[in-house]
Amino acid sequence: MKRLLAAAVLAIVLVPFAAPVVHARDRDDREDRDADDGYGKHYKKPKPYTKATEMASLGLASAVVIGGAGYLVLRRRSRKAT
Amino acid sequence: MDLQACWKARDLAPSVTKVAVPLELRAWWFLNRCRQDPAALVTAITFLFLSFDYIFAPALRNTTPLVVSAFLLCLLVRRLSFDTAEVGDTSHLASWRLIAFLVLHLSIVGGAQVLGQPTSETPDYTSSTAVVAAACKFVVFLPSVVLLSRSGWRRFGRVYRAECVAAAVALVTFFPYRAFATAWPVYSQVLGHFVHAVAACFVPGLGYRAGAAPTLTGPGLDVEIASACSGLDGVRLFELLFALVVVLDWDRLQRWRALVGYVVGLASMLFANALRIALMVVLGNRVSADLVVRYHLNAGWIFFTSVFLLYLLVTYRWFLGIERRLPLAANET
Repeated sequence: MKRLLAAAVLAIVLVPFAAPVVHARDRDDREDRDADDGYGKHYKKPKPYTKATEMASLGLASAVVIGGAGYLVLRRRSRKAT
Repeated sequence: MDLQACWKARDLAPSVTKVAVPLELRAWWFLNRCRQDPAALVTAITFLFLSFDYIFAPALRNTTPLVVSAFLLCLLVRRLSFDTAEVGDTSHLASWRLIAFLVLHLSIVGGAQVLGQPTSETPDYTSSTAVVAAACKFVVFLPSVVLLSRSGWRRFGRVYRAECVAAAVALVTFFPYRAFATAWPVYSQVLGHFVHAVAACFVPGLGYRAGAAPTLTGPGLDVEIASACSGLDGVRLFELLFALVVVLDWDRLQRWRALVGYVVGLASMLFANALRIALMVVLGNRVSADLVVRYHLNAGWIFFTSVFLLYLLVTYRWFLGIERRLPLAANET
């Protein structure tokens, strides 16, 4: 009974956690399919790879590298101190 | 000197006269432990198969389970690298369990391919189908249940309780895109009003236009707070870097403090994001609008990195409990 309850709680927590993404993807797909851009109504457009996306990835990668390096310096100093 | 003797001598010896264990012996011992320990093996298999699932069924793709299993694997490997206690027995990992695991994964991949890629021209996603597809994203963890016996899982939970708790925290908090997307209509208003209240102290005549994306209208620059400005990038950066700290310092961290620090850190990043937008509004209206428009993306990353480093500078010693150990060490000497 306890396990059943735990499974139910888990399902209640996890399913809504993931559902918005599925809905969002469905919506995007619908919008892509419905768009008539001269290639026919059902032409599926490729996902745009914008400069902003590229910059965000580069920015995150740089920030992780710089932040990680800063942490490693702090860690090294703390190990020396102790 | 054999390996057990090395470890015993190392543990018994005072820190000044630590016995050095040869590197190749340590590496062999460590790899052997990872191979022998059922928890590490099960997590590694789960991680591997999750990767395959995402390759063969893109509809299942979800970063969180993959990152969480990788994080748990890192923590287990880290634990095995410093914990000299006896490892479990992989004899529980019978071949029938592996076959059942494989069959279950194949079923999930097959199900996801049918449900996730409709062939009809008009999408036929009813709400129940969407819920099943959403559940499938986390169902990928279920086949792992058959890999160990009940007693094996009990041992896993008992021995690696801290690691399991850390992975569970990561599972519900890592990259909270859904939570942000859901909360954005309300959160955007709170954020907009906060930024307006702070920036209005420095920019006279600053206006506030409510909407799905609130806009701050200033004499020199109007700033629209889009969902990309929600601070999610800062949260993601914080989570990645904090995971690095947790994995590398797992043997030294005071775990409750780390958990408290994690929650405080997430809140700090959101607060820092609000300050970042306020700073942009002030600079855009008082210094140079062009400068803000051109460099606000890169400046955001620099700002978030600085905030994280400042946060770590303040909290790192507290995480490790160093402030308590040092006076003790001083008294002993």
